[in-house]
Amino acid sequence: MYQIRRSAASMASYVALSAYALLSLYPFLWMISSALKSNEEVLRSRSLFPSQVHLNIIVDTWNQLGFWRYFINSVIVAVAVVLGIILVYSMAGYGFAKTNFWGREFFFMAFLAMLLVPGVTVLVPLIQLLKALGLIGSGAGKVATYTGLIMPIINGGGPFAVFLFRNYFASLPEELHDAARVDGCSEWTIYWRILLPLATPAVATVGILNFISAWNAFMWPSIVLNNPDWFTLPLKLKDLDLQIVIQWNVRMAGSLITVLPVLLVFLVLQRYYIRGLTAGAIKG
Amino acid sequence: MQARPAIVAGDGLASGQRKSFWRRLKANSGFLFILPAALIFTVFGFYTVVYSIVLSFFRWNGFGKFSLLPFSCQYPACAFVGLGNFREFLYQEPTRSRYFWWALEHNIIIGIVVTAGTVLIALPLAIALNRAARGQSVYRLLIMLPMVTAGIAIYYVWTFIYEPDGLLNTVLNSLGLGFLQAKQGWLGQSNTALPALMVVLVWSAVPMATILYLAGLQTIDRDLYEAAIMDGANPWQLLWRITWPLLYPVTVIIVITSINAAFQGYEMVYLMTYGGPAGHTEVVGLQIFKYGFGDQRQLGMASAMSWVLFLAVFVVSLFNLRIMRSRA
Amino acid sequence: MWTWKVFHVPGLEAIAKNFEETEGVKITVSAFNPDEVYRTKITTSAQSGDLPDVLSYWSQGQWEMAATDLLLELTDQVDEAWQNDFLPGTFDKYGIFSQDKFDSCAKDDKCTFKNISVGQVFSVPYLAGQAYFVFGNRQIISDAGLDPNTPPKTADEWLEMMKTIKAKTGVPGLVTGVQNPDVMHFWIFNPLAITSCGVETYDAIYNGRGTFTNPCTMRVLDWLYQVAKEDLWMPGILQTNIDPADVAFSQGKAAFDVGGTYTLGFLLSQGMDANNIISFAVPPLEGSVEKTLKVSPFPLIDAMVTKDCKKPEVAVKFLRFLTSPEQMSVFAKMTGDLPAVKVPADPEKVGSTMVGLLNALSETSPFSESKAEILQEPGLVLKTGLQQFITAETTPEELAPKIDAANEAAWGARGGPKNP
Repeated sequence: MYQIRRSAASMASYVALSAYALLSLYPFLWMISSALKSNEEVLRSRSLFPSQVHLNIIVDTWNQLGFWRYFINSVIVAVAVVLGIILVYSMAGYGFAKTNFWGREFFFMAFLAMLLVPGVTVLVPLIQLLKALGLIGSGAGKVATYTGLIMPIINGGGPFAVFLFRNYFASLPEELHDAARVDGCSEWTIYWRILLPLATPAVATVGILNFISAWNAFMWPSIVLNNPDWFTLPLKLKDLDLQIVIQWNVRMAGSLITVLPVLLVFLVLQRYYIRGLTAGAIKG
Repeated sequence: MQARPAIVAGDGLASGQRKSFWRRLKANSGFLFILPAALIFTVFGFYTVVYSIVLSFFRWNGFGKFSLLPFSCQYPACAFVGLGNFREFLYQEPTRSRYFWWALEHNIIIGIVVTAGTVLIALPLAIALNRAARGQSVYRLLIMLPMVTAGIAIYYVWTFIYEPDGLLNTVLNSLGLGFLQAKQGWLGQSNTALPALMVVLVWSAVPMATILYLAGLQTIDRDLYEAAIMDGANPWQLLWRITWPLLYPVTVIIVITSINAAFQGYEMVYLMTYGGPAGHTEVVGLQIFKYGFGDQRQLGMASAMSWVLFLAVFVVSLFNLRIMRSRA
Repeated sequence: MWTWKVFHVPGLEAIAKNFEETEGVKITVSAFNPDEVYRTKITTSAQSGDLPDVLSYWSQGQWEMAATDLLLELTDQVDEAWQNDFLPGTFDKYGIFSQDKFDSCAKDDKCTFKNISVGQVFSVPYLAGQAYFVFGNRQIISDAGLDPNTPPKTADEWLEMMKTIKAKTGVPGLVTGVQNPDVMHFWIFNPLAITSCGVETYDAIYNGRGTFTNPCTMRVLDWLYQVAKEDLWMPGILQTNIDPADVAFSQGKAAFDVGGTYTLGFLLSQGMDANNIISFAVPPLEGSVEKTLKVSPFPLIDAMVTKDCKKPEVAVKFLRFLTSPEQMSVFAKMTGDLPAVKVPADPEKVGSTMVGLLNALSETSPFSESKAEILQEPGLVLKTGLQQFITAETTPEELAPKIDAANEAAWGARGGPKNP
């Protein structure tokens, strides 16, 4: 009886998953099909299947984008952001969850409040600040400019990451922590050697979310970067609008090319989600 | 071993602490862990927040100097107006204030409906994903797709779906539900535009919420379920008594970010309806965007409006956290 | 040089290359879009002192920038010969700070360019354009048994044509980018109102000395109300933006499309046959003060030199070069966009579409004489109201007093109605 119910439930799971997956997939398929159509057909036809496959659109767009240079720029930015966020805010999350200090709750709430700070009006002061620090402008080199680009993104991703890491560390059993203390481990060792390696699902979650937002960031990089050689992929994508009439097939091809690396990262990080990894480690 | 609710305080301060300096420093050494985060915030966050608050008491068009350190505000590009900005959009200017409150109504509706919709879809999805033994990674990838393919492409596809002869009306027609069709397009009718927009908002918020729920589910010990099943609990009870309370902290962060996005977001509205038809999807975020980035060039007004929204969202969030605390 | 129109970049680069050949100075052209990003980038760059030497900006936006000392003054540089190169109604009307502008700024507490004096010049226009053109589908008009060779003389005739077409062929009469709230207001309401009322009354109404309940504007509101009531808009019109509207028209989904100087090129690029398109200026209502609507060019984009520029002489020279008829012909041919400079009406040099455009434009128009200032607040009420005709949420009788109220309050906050 129980088995039957269980398999019925799992059938229902699969149906729900498949239905929702289809809903998620449709626009993506649409992107692919548009990248294969002529622009005229993109605007006229609502069919997912191109009447004639124009592979050259993707190839031309790829060439026109000068993919590799901007791809590397995007990778530098996204990876630096992700590493920075994971390192800085996993530490903070650990501090909030597992250690004690004066004003802990207050600082945590303050961090959380930062999540809600409106984004529109901080652009101007940020630029003034970066200028004062010598991180943007004609005098700043690529490294300085990228630092200026990346640090505010890291700061912006902070509150959310702190919250997730704190929750995750707090959910890890206190016994682990106590045992390590008894063994004479310092707080740093406990964090770095014991708890952080156990936090892979949290690391993967924070990593993926911030990778995607850093990869797709558009407004902020457009404002910081003046030198076209330093552009990231989404900025370069805008340079494809070379005609008075928007070429939707070119746009879709460009978006597709930009999206693929994210999908790849996602696939790679998948395995850190695998259930049981943490539980097993704790029990073992 | 027992899974703990995720929000637990660490062990309390050792009792009978001596007031020696080193002792105290050592007791507070945990602060070192948040020091890098605090430093980054102090350098890259603090100034901008204060600046933005101060700016809300000024009228400034973005040209000319307005800076805090050293303070400068150059007339006529910039002028101190006290609470003038707040007064203007809250009640003084009849047109602007009417549009502000009207937009806020939409924000509140979006905040409630989109948040509820996101949680109601993401949680079952995450549970299904978590228990799917086969094909989990494929499903996960597919469900995350909207997050990755965000932006202008998505807007374009949804607009097609909502057209008078678009996918949605066609499907309804072929199901024999032709009377439900929106003849003027789902985004083109005053009665369907906001719901249609909220569907897209839910659709684009679900992947992130699902990821968070999934990460949360991984922290719940399976033994808990086994034990409850032994005690004869049915699946509904498992969900309601174990999963839901243990995921509460995740729900809170989803609710907070969702409400925040509902109040401050503007991107989808900007791309899909631009506040139309006839203002039926106008939101405050779009107004802030127009003040701040549009041709009106009223950065002080944009600041003032954003901080009013901040206050509103902050109060709602505190309320949420309070509930969470009481549950934990 | 910066711009926000990516599709202008090849044209501007071609000019920059010609400049390099004659002057030996290289000019790099960068584009940042969309509009909001560009505006914000200008703001932040002005704050950090990283503006480029030459800037493109929305025409008439130069005053705010000049007032904070960001721009090089060009008053003495733009001599008579240079001025003569511009299309009438562009530089002469909007490039020189006018007494009218000065007066209304002096009165308005919120005006941010009080320190600019009459006669000062800070920028030169290089791109112009104008709306107010109607495009018709010849085939559909003939199918309804109407003569496509005689365009409607009045808006009332036009409305009757649309009704007939709808009755006979089932094709809806009208499409345009109604989703953008500005479109119905600026492209249809204003041309009908300025001809219906005459410039003087039109100005008085907008400037707070008249009322929208005036029969001349009520007739316009009624006309738009009729279009909605008779169901002459293309289905889904409120979710149709400018580009999709033109696409729909090119696919024969509506008999008429309202657009501007830039629309024809777009329609042709969509594969529409030029012989299947008729075009005429928005026809005035019966009993209008002006019996036809003349359309004159209006400056859209100006070029300016920033104060930080290291070699201002070269930059000014480049502006002169950029706005010379020869270089603007190159630009016009490459982009299909209308320059603010007198270019030869020679299909060889500027392309045949451009020649058609140039021929359709007059030197003056009621709009180039108008001193109306359309304030944000009444504009908002009017735009929303026009859309509410389509959603059947308001009527002209209800709407007009509301616009009046908003207009009165808005002018009140600016120190009273604008002087005539």
